[in-house]
Amino acid sequence: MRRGIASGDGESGTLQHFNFSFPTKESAEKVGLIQIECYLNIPATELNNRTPYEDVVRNKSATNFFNTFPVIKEAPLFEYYQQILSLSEKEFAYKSVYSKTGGVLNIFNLQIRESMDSELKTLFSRCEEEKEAIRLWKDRPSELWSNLPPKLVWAGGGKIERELILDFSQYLTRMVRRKEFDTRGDALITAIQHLRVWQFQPNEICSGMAPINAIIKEREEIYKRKSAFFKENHIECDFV
Amino acid sequence: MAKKSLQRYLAKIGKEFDVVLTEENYKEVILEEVESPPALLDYLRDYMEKNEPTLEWGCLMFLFIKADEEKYVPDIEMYYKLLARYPPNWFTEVGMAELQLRYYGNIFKARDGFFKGLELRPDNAHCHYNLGFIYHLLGVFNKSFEHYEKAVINHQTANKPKELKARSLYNLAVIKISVERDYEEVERHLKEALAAMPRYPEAKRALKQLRRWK
Repeated sequence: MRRGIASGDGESGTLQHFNFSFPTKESAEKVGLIQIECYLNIPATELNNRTPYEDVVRNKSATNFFNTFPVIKEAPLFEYYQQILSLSEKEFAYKSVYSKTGGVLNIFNLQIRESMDSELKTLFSRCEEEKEAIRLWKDRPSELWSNLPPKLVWAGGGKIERELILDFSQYLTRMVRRKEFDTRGDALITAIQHLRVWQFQPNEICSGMAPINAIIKEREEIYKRKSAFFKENHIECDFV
Repeated sequence: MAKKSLQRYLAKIGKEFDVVLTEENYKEVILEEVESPPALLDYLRDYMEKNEPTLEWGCLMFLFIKADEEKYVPDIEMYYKLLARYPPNWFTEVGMAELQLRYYGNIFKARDGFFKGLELRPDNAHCHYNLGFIYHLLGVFNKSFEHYEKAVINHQTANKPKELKARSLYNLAVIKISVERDYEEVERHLKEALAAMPRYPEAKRALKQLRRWK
């Protein structure tokens, strides 16, 4: 297990740090990316109750967002913010889902590529029009992302999932403390097994709901909000 | 070139394992080495009859089996690659799938490997069991459940049929309790698991705990 450090931006803009153990370097880094992905979906008063994501899409640039929260420029994860917020036309195409983290439920997944998406391949071959294939595909639970449909992977998580990722990181760190693993596979499998137990345990962060249900519920709300925003701004998007 | 490598394999097998492989005996030696349930031996017999492999295949297969026994990853991968010029066989495909899963933690590649295993031996319980496990890791519980159920139905094809049946039933109980909270079904699965393998501490413990909850 690798020890890592991640930071999250608190409501007030201060940084919180925590230590954790994760099975691979990739998954430890993903914690930071998931936190940012979630943070970008949380409305901010400084942005007139828009989410950072909406602000960046509306302004076609992240400048206003970074100027509003200058502390982020100093954050160790600033590079990741820039990476995620370099939203181009690609963000609105179905392919953008493969650049998303998939959130806490998919923290141990490797990078998912379109070539791995057999469901999409099948639909492309069955449907006459590509648009129709994408319309069907985006709603179907996918085994590439722990049974989340692509549209919810694209939408991303929010406030609750951002807290849950910290909760899971601490849970996993407690569970694997002082354990040694012979292989990368062994370490990954153990971590994923803990994730699958954790996701069903009632959790105070989500008012006693199981994290899996809370995550889906929150992502559905974020998806609805994003859909409404895209329609309002006449932006064409494969996911809406 | 091919003759040279054949001589090299034969020499290696003779030196390291004290076995003399010949055109006449290699099929029997492979079957002895596999030492597995009748269903797998029948499969390999059938494979050798249909594909008429060569002595070189026999050498590579022998060395793959030995590397697999020793869990020596570089050799497993090397002999798997060298065997790629012959028609795929269940033993090597599943061996590689296990390596992808347990050594590398590459779940998607392992999933594909076990599916390939099922293509070569449809209804094979070992592949269904591993796919049940993989889909559990992937968080796709309906598919996990389906494969564990198929592992129970086809358990006779496994190396240790009773153990595989019991472990599949236990895992079905785990899904029932985590996803559906269906305690009646959980109890039924656990009892069946214990009937198949009476010395199964996890199942005993789970059943005790369940009775306390009920």
